[in-house]
Amino acid sequence: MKIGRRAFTKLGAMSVAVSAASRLAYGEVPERKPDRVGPDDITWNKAPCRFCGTGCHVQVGVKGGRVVSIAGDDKAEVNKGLCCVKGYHVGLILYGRDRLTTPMLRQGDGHVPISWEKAIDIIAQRIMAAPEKFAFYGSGQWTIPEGYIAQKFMKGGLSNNHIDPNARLCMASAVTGFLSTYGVDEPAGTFTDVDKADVVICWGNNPAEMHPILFSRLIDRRARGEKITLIDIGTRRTRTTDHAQHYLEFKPHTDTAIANGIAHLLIQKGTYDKTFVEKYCNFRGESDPPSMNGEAISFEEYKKRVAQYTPEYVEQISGVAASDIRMLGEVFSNPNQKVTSLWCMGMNQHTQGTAINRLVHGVHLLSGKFGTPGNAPTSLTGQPSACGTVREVGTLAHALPGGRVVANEAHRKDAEGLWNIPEGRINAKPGYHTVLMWEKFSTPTEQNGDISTLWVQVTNPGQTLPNLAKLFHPSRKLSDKFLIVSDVYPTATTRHADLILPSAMWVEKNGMVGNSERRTQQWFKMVEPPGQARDDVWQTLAVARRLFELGHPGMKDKDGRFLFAIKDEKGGEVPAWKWENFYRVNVDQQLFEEYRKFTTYKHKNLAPYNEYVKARGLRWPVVEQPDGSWRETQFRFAEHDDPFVKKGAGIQFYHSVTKDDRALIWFSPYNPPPESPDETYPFWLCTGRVLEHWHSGTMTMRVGPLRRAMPQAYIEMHREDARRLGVQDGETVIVESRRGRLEIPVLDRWPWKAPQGSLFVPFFDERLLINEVTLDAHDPWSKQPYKKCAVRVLRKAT
Amino acid sequence: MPVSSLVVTLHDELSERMAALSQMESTTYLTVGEIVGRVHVPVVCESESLSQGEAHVRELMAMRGVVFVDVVMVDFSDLEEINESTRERRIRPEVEWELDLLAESDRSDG
Amino acid sequence: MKHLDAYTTQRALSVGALVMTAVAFVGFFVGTEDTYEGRGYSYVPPPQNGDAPVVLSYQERMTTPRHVNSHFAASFSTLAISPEALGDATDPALRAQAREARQSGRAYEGAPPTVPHPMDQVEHLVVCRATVQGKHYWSRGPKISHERYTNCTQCHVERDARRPFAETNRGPSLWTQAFEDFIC
Repeated sequence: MKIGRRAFTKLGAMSVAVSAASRLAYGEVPERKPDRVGPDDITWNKAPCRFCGTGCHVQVGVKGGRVVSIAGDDKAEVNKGLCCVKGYHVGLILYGRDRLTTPMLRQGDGHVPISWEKAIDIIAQRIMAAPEKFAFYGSGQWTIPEGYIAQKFMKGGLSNNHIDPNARLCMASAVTGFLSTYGVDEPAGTFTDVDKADVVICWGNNPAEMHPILFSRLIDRRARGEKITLIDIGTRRTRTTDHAQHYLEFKPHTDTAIANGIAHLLIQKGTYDKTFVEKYCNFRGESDPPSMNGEAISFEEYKKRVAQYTPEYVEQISGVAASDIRMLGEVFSNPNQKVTSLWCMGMNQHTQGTAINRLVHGVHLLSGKFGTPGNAPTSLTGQPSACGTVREVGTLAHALPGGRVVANEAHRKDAEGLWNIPEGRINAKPGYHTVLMWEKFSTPTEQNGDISTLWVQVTNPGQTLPNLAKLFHPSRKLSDKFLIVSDVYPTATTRHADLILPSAMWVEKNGMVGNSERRTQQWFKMVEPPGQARDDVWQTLAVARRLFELGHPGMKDKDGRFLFAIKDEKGGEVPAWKWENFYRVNVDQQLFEEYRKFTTYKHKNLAPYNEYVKARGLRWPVVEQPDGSWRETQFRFAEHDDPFVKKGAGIQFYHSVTKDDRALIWFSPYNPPPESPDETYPFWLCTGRVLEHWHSGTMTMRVGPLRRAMPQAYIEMHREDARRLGVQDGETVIVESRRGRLEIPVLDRWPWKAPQGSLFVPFFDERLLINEVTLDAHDPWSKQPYKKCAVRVLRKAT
Repeated sequence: MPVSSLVVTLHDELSERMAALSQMESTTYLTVGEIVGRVHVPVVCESESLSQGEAHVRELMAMRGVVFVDVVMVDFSDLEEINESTRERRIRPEVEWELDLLAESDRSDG
Repeated sequence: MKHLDAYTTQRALSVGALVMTAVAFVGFFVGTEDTYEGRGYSYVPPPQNGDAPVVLSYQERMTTPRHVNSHFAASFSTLAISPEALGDATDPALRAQAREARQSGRAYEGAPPTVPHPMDQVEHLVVCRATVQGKHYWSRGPKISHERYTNCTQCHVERDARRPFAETNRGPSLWTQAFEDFIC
């Protein structure tokens, strides 16, 4: 349908008039604000970017039912009208030629199209046959309502806790770090700290490529003549290093020693913040046998334990010069300098991930670099809703919404009350975490492999799980294991799936997400999904309804009604499980309003849905003011900003582990890694990302400019190592670990230098699956696997 | 050509309301939306120029059954030039008449 | 001479600025392309303090209204192109040419262009210089021809991967051709 310019203008004018009329009639604006129509008949509307956890807002230009343009959103505080190169091209991800458009069932070696009805029935029948053997593998790209409906479906419906997200591979160690330090998850600071800090320390972090807007926000300050010191503590040089005054290269896994070294210096020189520590902190060490909560220790005991970490000892372990460790000590000692720490995968994908997270929090607490603008330990996330969905909705095997856990009886009762389900329905035993879930799915049923049906939404485990030969491939040879995958494009996972469901993505559906700085964001559907692609929320809802029809008792609430009753404005039930009705009401809004009730318990208060419609995201806790407006919070636990802190308290950790409003300063010793280079496997292999591509490349590899700029994966090797092996630049070599091998071309000259003895391979390329090689060893508390392993490099026989 | 978004507030009385609605619907330059609540009607008004738009609003206000007209927005993005100064408004007959009166009073004062 | 009103003057200036920006763009890219192919990319030292305009802070961006091209004359003087040499700013052919030049290397109207030479974010402030203070001629246009930012790779990638890659097709790729709809 083609609409003329005139008609378009009239349409726009009418919606403005309607909105004004309803304000006059009812004293309020209708929920959906009229779209703005710009020149060239392009309609603009807001949406958060689909990619990383920075959470930039873009303006999406739609014309003729297609996204035709993207602009940075001036009103967004995160990005102030700017975008990174992935963000500017985010609209193109919808239009790869090979979008999945119809449900497909495996038949022999290929897949055949089937109807949605049949697809939903197949899933329901498999769950009905063995509800306890079903598992849901989700994602930090699940929108909040998608995660919430899956969570309620599993834990509140099937009494099954086998639900875990890919974020387990991404930020689980950050969660355990926050929980064991403050008693509650997620950063206290926000991106505002990056605008105010004098010193920013990147701990194994490369924001120049992974969070470019946040990074520009920092270094653009230099162009204004502000002095910012950037310290890059890393295992390889990156684009971030180019901007850093100090580059501290450490041996992989030894960051715990560096953090302990800083703590030692603060104490030895007496430059720690005595007042802060005395008023707001307790000390904790690891218990024997080890436990998540450790054991209380005295300050004297803490002092004794860190005393060993002299700059010289740390240099010996980490390879970072003692003088540089002293420099870090000075940075934290100087009361006039504001220090912000940033970290992401480097600290989290670590077999001591929880420990290093705790230690970095500890250094900030010990030095009092906390709670004032510019002083913050801030973890970043790689996915748009790792915080909003995974951590807040709690789509983890052990969690319930709003910071509750299944193992706690009171928490279960809370959730059962809010969901109106019979007492005792929620299973008290945590389900399988990611690595275990896939291990069980890959183990034959008769050998205790008790997961038989696995549903994957919004993620690509066939490419991103570590040690694929162990965790992914075996199940594909077992006839009774059934893999369901909802996705938008063919991936390394759909290729092996038994049932493929085509999903709507990004602005083809309504959505809400939460970024790294506790900012909850909302957008509306703007274009139709292609073919028969449908929302993931609908898919879960439809399966739940089918199970209800089949008589599954868990799909009923206490009063015998369907668990997911979607209502219209008059309170009548809408059969939203039928696709044609799904957009008759705003299902996202109803799920969100229900979920919102969970969030006050841990003071992560969210505002009503319509507040997010108006805003470019709001940072929780969002608290209603006497005048009816809603106020967001930038600095948690700090009296000057956080409404939940008692007047006069200064800083109050109101969810403290020790119940005395104090945070914990942990001591954890340096422990050697599970696998180190040796004579047979002499190289460290580190995997990671590149500027041009996002995660497994499913979306960005379909965007021309990005793909042409970075067409394939490579292995980065030091020139000296290449010379020694006789490898030419560009030559294809074999990289091999104890678990698998891969042929991949070498890059030794440009743009960066991997240190000697170290290799780097990005994981975005589905043709060059580096996870055939990686290790599945993981942190004992967060269950997050490790980023690095030992490998060797062989020349191909010529 | 300017396009304006208006909200017309109608009379409480049913017969008055019906009269206003039917008259508005038969007016070619108006597009009448669905009534919101009981008395508020969103209306889009098209005109050749800004001054004509203003005249249309006055005509609307004068209609039977119309209590008030709110002008919410005027879209004149496709106007080549905006040179309709207030002078143009003054030459409309009714205003001219007012000006004459003013001139009269000036003279009498003098 | 007929006296022009403010609106017409502004429009004329805008069109002029657009053409000048475009020609500067073409000149710059064509120039570096030659340099790269012929003699290797030559390093141009970044501008010294005060030599390039100061970027707005993130705080200021929220509150400062953006003026259309308020300093455009300054930037073009540094490019050493005399405005007279650009020809008639109202010539439709020239405008079309300018528009085409501007669009090459972009995924869509308003996207940041890909860059036809190797780049990294530190050494190439010159790129920013070339694009400094142009005109956002499209009212909602993304920030093309922007003020100076210090991180080029935030928004720009190289047009072609000039790397010693020999495609190692290990197994079928799922996304061959999927991207070709977008010529850029």
